[in-house]
Amino acid sequence: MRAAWVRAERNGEVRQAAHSWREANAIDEAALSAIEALYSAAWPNPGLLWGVLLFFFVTFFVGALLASVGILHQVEVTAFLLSGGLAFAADRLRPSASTVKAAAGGGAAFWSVVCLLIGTAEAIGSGERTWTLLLLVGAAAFAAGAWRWGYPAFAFFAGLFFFLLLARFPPGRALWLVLGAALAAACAPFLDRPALAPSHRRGAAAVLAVSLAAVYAAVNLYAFDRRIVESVSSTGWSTPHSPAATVRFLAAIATAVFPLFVLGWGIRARRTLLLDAGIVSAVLSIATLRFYVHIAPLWAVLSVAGCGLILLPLGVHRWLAQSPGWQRGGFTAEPLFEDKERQQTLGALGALSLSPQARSASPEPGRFSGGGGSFGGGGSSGTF
Amino acid sequence: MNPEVADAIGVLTEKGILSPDQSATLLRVARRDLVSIRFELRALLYAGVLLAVSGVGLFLKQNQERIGPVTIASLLAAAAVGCFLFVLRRSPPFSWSACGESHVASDYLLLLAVLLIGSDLAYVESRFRFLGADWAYHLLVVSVIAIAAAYRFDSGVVLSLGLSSLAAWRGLSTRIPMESRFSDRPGEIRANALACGVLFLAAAFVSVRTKRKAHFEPVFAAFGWLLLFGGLLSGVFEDKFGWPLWEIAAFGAAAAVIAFAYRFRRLFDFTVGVIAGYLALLRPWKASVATDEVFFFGVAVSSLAVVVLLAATYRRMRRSG
Repeated sequence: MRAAWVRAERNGEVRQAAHSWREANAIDEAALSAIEALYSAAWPNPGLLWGVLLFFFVTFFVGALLASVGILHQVEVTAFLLSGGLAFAADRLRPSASTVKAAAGGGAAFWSVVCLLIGTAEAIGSGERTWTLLLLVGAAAFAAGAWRWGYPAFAFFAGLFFFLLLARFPPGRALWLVLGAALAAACAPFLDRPALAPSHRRGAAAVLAVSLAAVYAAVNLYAFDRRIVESVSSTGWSTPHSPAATVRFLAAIATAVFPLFVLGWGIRARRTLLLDAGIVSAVLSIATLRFYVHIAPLWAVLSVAGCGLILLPLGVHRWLAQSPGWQRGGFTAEPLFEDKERQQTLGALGALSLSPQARSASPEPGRFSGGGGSFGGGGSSGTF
Repeated sequence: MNPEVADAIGVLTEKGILSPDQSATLLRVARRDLVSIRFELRALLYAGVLLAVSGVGLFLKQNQERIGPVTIASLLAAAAVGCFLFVLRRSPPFSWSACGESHVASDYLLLLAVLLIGSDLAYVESRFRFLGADWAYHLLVVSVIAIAAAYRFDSGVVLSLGLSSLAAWRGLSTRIPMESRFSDRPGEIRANALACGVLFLAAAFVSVRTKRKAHFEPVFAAFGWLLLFGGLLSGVFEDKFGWPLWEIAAFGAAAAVIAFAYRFRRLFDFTVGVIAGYLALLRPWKASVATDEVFFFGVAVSSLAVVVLLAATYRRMRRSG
């Protein structure tokens, strides 16, 4: 990133924080104006809607152009030209003070990498090595994009492509485990390093999340037995799979210990990203346990787990609320100048996923069908 | 830790923009000495509601013959009442304006209560067939309960559930992609979509006009636009003979929404209008060109033109405040 971009981004961080303080009434309007005057460099922070709108039209542009030339069998050249053109456009648009241009820059940057991948795939043709090369190019291009333009999503994709690339080689699982742990450990100090641009710190957080997921996938017993890592490589299935009992035992132990370790790390470092990763891996470990040990019928497991997941946060909330200052060990359940869009997104997601199926035109008379899976909100279709 | 913000707080305190008391609190958050886990708690609650409802559904399916319908219906009702009581005890009194910050679990336990009532009603109806051929009316009942609960407890999430249940009663699903169980009767489903869309938009208008739960307006409007444009665009793309009329209606509505949204600086409505208007124009473009190459090339060029137009519109919006 250019020095001017980094300076503007740092100012943008302060301005954004000041707005959240103002929203929470922690400062008054005069203080907000003074802060904005002091940290005046504008860094575009396109909202979700502008981002969606512009991404939609950039996607239409790229997709339609590729479809147009695809009919004429000139995809390869067009994809490379588009990749270069879009990368150039992204570089110009990224620091723009206009929200629309900055949002268009995001779409252009993403499609420049995708077009590069399409062009590469067209150039080298089909074959086993194609996938390996594509993953290599994808990892490198996304990493370069993350470094140049500072999009954390690019860092996430770079990490994803990197681990998929590792899985193509015979000791893929071991590579996931060793390099995943190494990368996670290497990323952790960068999360707070003042010398890095804020977006690069967020990129490091994205890579940390992918690395933790890779380590968990490498040690999870279910993934081990199902050879999920090996399945990324076409040769993975051809080799015999006869794991030693000791290895399976170690995988079972690791499946249980990993979430505890990450949760402990998150509590100690007071880092919500690690807490979230620990919670997700704990849920997956419980699902793994249920897969191997039938402790109760599925409905009982779901109901008890559901009630547990409701009671646990209620208990934590109560525990924190009863402590002095409504905080304990540096944690609180109160909103602290938090991102309202994030909270609203969770609510909207919940409402969307629970929205009912349309009523059936021909109902099944006198029959109630329950079961896991999609809940027809309000019992709309009788399926749960 | 946010190093920029932590440094800035020191500078702002030195310059007297922040008082020492203010900076002490803000610095604790910026340095991550104090961290909020409210989002995590809410996410866990949401996951808990999903799992619990799935478990109850499976339980009903597998045990309905053994336990008996009366016991099952009573258990579900008791659980729903329990959730309602929890929310009632921890909620502020009713108000037509937005209530303050509620208990972290209120929204999700209210959601669970309404979902349990929905399950209970669906189960009772499937067993006893009180409504006979009009069995789908139980969705209307669920919708009314959800909307009433949303108003009482000031919950946008539960209001969304109420509106989607109402749409489901009319054979519509508000999930994306919009689906329908009446695919053999497209005219009926289209009419229902348009009627529901207009109804929700009217509710949005009334909410703001009367200042009664005006903050629910975005929820009403979002569902309204989704159903209205869903209905109009399905006419454009699916009606083989009458599509020109649908085209006029869809493009006209999109243009009106864009103008309205531009005038009142409503970004969501503007986004919906632009996308719907653009999609509406694809049909006549497709009908007027001879080859696919030209069609796709036209789509590419027009998409780029829309991006440029959006940038110009945004600049004008900024200039005119």
